[in-house]
Amino acid sequence: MQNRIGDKENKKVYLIWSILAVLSLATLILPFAGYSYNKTAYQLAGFDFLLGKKIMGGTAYIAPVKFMWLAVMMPVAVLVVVLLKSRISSKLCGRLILAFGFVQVFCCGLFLLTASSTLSAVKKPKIEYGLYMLMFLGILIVVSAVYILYQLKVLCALDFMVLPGLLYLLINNYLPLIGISIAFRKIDFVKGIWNSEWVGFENFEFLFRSKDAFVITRNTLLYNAAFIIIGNTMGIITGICLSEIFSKRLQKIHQTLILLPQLISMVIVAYIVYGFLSYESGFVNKTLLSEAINFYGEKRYWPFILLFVNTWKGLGYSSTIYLSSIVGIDRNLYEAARIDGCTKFGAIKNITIPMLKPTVYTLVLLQVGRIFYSDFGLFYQVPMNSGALYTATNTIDTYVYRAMMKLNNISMASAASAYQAIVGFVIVLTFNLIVRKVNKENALF
Amino acid sequence: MDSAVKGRNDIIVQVFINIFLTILTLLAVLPFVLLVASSFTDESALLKQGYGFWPSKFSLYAYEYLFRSNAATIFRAYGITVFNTIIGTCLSILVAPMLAYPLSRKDYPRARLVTFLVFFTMLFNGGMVPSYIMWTQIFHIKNTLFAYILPGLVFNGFYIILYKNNFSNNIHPALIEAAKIDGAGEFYIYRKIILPLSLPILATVGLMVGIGYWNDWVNGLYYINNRNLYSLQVFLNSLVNDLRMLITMSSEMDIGVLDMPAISIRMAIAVVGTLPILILYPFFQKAFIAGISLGGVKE
Repeated sequence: MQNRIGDKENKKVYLIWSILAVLSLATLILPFAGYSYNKTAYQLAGFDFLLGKKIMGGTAYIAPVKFMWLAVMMPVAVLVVVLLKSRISSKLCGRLILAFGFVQVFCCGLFLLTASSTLSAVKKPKIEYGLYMLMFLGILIVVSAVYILYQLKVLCALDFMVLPGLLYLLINNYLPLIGISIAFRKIDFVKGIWNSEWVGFENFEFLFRSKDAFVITRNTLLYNAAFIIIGNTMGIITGICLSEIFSKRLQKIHQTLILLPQLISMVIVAYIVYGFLSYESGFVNKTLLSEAINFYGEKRYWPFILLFVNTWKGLGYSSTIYLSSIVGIDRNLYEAARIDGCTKFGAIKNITIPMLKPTVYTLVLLQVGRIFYSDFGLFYQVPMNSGALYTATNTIDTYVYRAMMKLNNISMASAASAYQAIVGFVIVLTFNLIVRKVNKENALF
Repeated sequence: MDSAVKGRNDIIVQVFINIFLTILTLLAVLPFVLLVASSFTDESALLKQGYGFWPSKFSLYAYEYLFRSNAATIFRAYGITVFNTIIGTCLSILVAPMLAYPLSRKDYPRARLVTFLVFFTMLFNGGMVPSYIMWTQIFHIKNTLFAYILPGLVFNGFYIILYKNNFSNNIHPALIEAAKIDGAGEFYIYRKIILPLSLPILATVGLMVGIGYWNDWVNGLYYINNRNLYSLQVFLNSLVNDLRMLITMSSEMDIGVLDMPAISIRMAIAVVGTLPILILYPFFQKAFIAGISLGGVKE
């Protein structure tokens, strides 16, 4: 493959890179932030954030900012790469510099966005142009590296296509992964998350010493197990019934209507359940029962109510999936079976169900992989957040929500949420490994 | 086997299947009937007989009350929900297929890496606490409309896999090759060839994303506590447990609390929240069913 770039131009780019790196380092003497004290405006230079500084006559202290250190390492690394350019290939050079420039921009952005907590000790904090300069220079480094890599045919147009999507995943899914460390810290928002004290497993000890830990784990696992078994059994039965019905019109009508609950949010489901179970005006209490039951105060009914509601809401989904894979089964098999004198039930037992196995495996494995996660809406909305029911309805997700948003207990919430993430991950990997051992075809990955 | 006997057996089976499915269908539909019927029932009749499937005494008072005292709140909530749904769905359609398309290309050198990055998000995530802290402390989206649109809902790994499978199965590589020979660039190919050929899957996944936005209340629960920014579902959620909020709103507007139809109004609000999606359902049910059917297909 012919590169789109000559050696001469290549050299120019190395020069540009080194200039950009030197300029980046020079920005550290520029003001990065400002504050006012005794009616006078003061400025904090870039290196003040590297070393930490006592300000406002010694009353406040700006702690060293870790990702500022990282940001400053990047121009240095760029210079090192430029010096080494004769030793390593220009493709590798470009890749490294792209990565360094990206980290530089990323760190500046992070500093910009979290400056309010870093500068929380000062009055009228203000971001100054130095930080923007550093960020802008980082962007220039990235752009020039991308240009070179594109010319060297390392990057192609398809890379630019995946970029927006990957950026979203990076922010939405990968950035919070770093935040799992919150579970190992004693969070103090005044100090900022990254300067909070590291306490190891203390938060987890607290969590597991409380009786909540057992209750939420048990509830999450048992409910999910019941949901998987009942949900899929009902889904298969309904799917088979839908496929066996003669009239295609009736099939469509049934399928469409059974899917109705799938369309609505759990908030509405909660209203509907309330319409049936409300103590003073619910349909069940007023019409069906002679003696009213206070459903929202009696926890023994809730495992069945939640199982019913979950199956009711999910039946359309699972039966549609099973129906679609039954429709995909070769009709000739049934024809052959019929000619051999096989009955309808025989055909279902010997053809449909065995042919459904891959779908069942996929769905069950997906659900088992999420056995540590519960449907927050189901467990929060449908019992209407009723405190009397917590031992029967509290799951890890509702516990995390209540600990964080209602009790403001970040350490417990983060411990529970990290516990869920890590154990959940181990469970997916383990189950997949077991399935792979038994039958590679059925494994998820 | 005697064909008459067999025919009779078949009919019996059909009858049983029909009865069974009819029961399921009724179970699915009747709760909605209860919801709607109760909202049209007179308050005093409800107090005596409770919620039911037929309004024992027809009354529009709940709706009248709702729209007289809270029209502004409800219409604003509607507006916010519609806005979120449209913007969120557009964003999703803009970004997600563009991420999935290169993964379907055999000649894309980083397909494996990117696929892994997408797939890994389905297996492992940081959990709610780090996400919440990140969105609020770093991106400061608390009490902004971004809070409805950005966290979690734009697309997920599952949608990317749906798109990718569709592109791999439905678009022949020769088509792309031919376009390239004619001098078309990658973005041009994507816009002029890939997207027009993929309208069904775009509609299907877009619909699922749109329903997700319409029905979402969790983001609102976590990130919104400014009443003026409540979306429909969040507004409904805020009323689930108590009618206190309605009462305060009414008292601010000098409307008597005592004549508030407390029991029927709950259902009226729920009907208001569900109606649009139920009305539109016949029109999109085909794409909806198609989307769900894709759920069982692996890789």
